[in-house]
Amino acid sequence: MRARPDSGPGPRTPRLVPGDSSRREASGVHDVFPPGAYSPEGVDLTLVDAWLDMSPEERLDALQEMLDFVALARRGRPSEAP
Amino acid sequence: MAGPPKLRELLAALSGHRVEFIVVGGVAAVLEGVGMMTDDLDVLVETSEANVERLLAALEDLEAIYRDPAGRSLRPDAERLASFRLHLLDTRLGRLDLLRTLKPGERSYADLVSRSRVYRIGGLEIPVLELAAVIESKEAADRPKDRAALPLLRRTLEELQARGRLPGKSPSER
Repeated sequence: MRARPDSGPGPRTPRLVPGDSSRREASGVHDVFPPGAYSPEGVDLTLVDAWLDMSPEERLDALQEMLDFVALARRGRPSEAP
Repeated sequence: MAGPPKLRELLAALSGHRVEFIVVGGVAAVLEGVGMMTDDLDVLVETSEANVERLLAALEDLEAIYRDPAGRSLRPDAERLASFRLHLLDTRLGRLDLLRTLKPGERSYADLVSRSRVYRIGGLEIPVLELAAVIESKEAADRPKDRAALPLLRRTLEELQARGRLPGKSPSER
């Protein structure tokens, strides 16, 4: 009999099926992200949704908060200031 | 060295002097719906004599000087503004970058005003470059930080198109 590609000397590794958490857990792989959380290019789709649900004013204020936070963090590290 | 840009205040200062400009770059992307970090406020300015005069008045109010590695205190003036494509300034409200043209094709304010949308922010009407045009400019600039941002920008544009909504008002609705 031909060996299955996922067979080996140890216990057989279950084939991973997207969305099938029981098989994923059986394999020892624990995917903490729900299926579809990231695009194939690695874009965080939850983040995309969240920003699109905000108003432009809210987005501008969120960016300002990030800028202020980074400036605060850099204050103690002048060499990293832009 | 100036701190991070105070975005609302800088936009209010330019609008208060009736400067004709379009927000471009990362801040435009954020306003269009992209969840990304950016350090600079980039604006594309209209370069008629009258607008440059209004711009210089705004820059004087903002105490703008060029970001100069040599530490000189160079103030923008009409001659300098006419001489360069890009002006990196420090102001009392943080960093402000002015552009006379935008890649690809060195497009001017007049070329891109039809591809801007107007957002109402804090009682001001702020023209913002549409996301598709921001993506074109990032593709043309092709710096490492642009290449890193492009997947997120493109995906957000796809989502906007899939939802059938592109935010803001077109220039004809102003």
